[in-house]
Amino acid sequence: MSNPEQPAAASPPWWALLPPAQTGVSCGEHTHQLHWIDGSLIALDHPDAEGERVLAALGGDRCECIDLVESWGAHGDDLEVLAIGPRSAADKLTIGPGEIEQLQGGGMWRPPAHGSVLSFARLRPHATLPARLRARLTPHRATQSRVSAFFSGSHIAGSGSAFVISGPRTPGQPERDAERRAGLLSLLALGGEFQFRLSATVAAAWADGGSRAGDAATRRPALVAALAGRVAPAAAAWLGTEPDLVDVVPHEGPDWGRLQATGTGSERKVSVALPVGWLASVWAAGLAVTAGHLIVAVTEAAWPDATVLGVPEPGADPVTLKLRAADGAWTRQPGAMQ
Amino acid sequence: MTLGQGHGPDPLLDHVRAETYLRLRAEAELRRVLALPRDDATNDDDEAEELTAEHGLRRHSVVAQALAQAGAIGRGVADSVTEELAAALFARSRVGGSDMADVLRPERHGQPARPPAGPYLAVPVGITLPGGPGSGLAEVQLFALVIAPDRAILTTAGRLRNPARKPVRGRRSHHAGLPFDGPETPTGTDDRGNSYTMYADSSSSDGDGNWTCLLSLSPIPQPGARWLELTMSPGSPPVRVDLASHGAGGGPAPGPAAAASPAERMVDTVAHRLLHASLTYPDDDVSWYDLSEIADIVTALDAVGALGAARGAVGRLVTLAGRLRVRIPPALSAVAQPAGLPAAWQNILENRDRGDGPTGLASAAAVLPELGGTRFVLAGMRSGAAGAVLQALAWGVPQPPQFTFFTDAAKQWSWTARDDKGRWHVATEGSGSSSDRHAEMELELAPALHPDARSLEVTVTGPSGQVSATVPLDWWSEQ
Repeated sequence: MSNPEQPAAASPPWWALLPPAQTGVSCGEHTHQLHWIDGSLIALDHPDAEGERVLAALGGDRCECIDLVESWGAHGDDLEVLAIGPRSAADKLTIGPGEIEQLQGGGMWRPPAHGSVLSFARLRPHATLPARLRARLTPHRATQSRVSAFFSGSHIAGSGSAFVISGPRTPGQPERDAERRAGLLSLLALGGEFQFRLSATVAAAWADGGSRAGDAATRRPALVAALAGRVAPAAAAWLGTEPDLVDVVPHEGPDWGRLQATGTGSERKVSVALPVGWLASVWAAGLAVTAGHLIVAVTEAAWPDATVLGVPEPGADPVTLKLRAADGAWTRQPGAMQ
Repeated sequence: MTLGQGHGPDPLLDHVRAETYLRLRAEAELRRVLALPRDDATNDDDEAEELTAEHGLRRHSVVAQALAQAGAIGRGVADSVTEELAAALFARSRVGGSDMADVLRPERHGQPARPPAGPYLAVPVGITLPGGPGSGLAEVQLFALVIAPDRAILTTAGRLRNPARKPVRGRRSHHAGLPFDGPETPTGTDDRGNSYTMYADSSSSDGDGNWTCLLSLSPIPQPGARWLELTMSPGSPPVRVDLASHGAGGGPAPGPAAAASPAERMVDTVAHRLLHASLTYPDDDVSWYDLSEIADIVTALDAVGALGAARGAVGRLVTLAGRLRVRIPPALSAVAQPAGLPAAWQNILENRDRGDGPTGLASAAAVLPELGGTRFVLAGMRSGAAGAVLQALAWGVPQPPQFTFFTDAAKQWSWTARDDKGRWHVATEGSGSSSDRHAEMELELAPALHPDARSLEVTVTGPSGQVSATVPLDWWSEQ
């Protein structure tokens, strides 16, 4: 499958240094495999995924695998991925199926009132209420901090929840936001490898040549934060200063960007400009600081080998490095060019 | 109305700069929490020097909402950035599922229902009756009858015959032991022969035998009714409430007066809270009062160019805090020089130690003009030597923004009052309850009312301005 985020230029595609990843997910009564390769997520146990999606859209049964693949696509340009997702390899997200279940058990998610594809947004899967009634129930949290709940309709006791019967309703923006965020958490629960790959997908969408590049100016604050949240800790650790002293802005232009520093020691202030695409091609691959260099661009890529540009120190021009991934780490290869 | 007064982004401010500031602040907050040992990040210890993750999230939300109030960003941006931080912390097990559940609860974004259109009436009643047999009450005090388009409420209080050991609060209560829950509920009739029943809409007792209750009349008396007779217990003499002489006449009430800038109002609200705390805490010691939250807000407003004229308010706060020996965060001192205190605050401080307030009850019934989609009605006061409590009903009160319920700077309303003898008072919202339609609250006034006060001008200031009403203080005593 071709990927629309691939830049037209000769530089390697953003996923070139991200090896395939695979994980098992609960799908109905089975454990199925989700496989990520070359920028795309595939449900291995659903060879006719497209057909299943069409059937589901027409009201057929849904399954978790297809829902997750579809959700992956829906979040492919969602900047909230970068707001919630990992900032570095050391930043371990602990969210997993247990936490998702915990949220479901709280009964705070409305059932999708439209053709939602989100598998986890279902109303208490173990409820015994008839499905048609369930579809009209709005869960309310039993305990609210300040608001006294009024129940004007029939009141049905639930374990920890109460339900108010309501008529059919069209979801508003708050409902869509909540549903979207819940879907994102479910994707992040797939694990670290998928978190980085989803983050890279989003960054690529907003980078030069990406599907949302034309809208980047309107989302500049989120892009600044996404870059700063990842560049600042890396640059600070590299230079022995504090992340709060690292100023980061998105770089626009054909060159790699800019890196300057003033002061010394732990009060050293650093100014960095890197393109948003750096997140996809460099950071997501775990290359941010490698072999004592701040890696600023990938020039050639054939996993597990990479040729990159790295800045040895602020103010210096970048040099070319040859790297190889082994055992989860990048190492500089002998004979690399300077 | 000044642009940006809590009603949306101010076109004169740089929203991109403000949103970027807020998002980078969220990044810094996430880094701060992740640098804490996991136990410190979640341990809710008041003595801890570092904010826990949960407290940091609340603080961030307060700053976000302050930027929105000031018009620097939209409310949606403020919510989104806060929610994303909450989700990021949850995904790292730094805040609990309940915080995340609140974030995912879409109905919290709902706007409160606007006050229903139509006349609002607040009629003084002002009488103390013996509690009826079987009512559980030694006495019952009837303060005021409030008739609104969607509800009619009689504000009452009293003494329980057999106080419970624990405080009890209930809405449409089924708590055993609270009056007016049994079959023998109060009734009423009007001059047209219509009959009314009354039930406890909400009630509470404090464990010392003091009981308060909002009695709801059903049906709602229709406009044109000249009087109501209320019978509180079978066989007791009815109490006539004259509606005709308190009709909604006299022309339109004055609308809201322009308020200070949102930033100025936020700072002044904190000053009012501090002022009130200095009047009501033992030995006037408020050295514990924490101004770091408003300091964060001021820092944010200054960083995005939205502090403006609020520097004067910061100066007033710095002076007040210095006078009360409260620690002043450097961020406050850095943006403003100490400024002179308003005459009202000076007056309040001068009268802080007075204990000469009249002891009594007053109907204190008045309808305030609608203010930015919220309607307040005053309906009863009890005064003592040290201060007074004013009962207020409200329609269309917005829910506090996410994670900001306990924060002074995020309070929507600021209350002041001045009695006819020239004594100023500041009030804070005490106990109360709210739904998406209605709210009830007790306003705790301090310092004491002047012993000879016969009326009180009450002013509430909110995001869109301020409104006032004057209530007569026709005291009557408990039995």
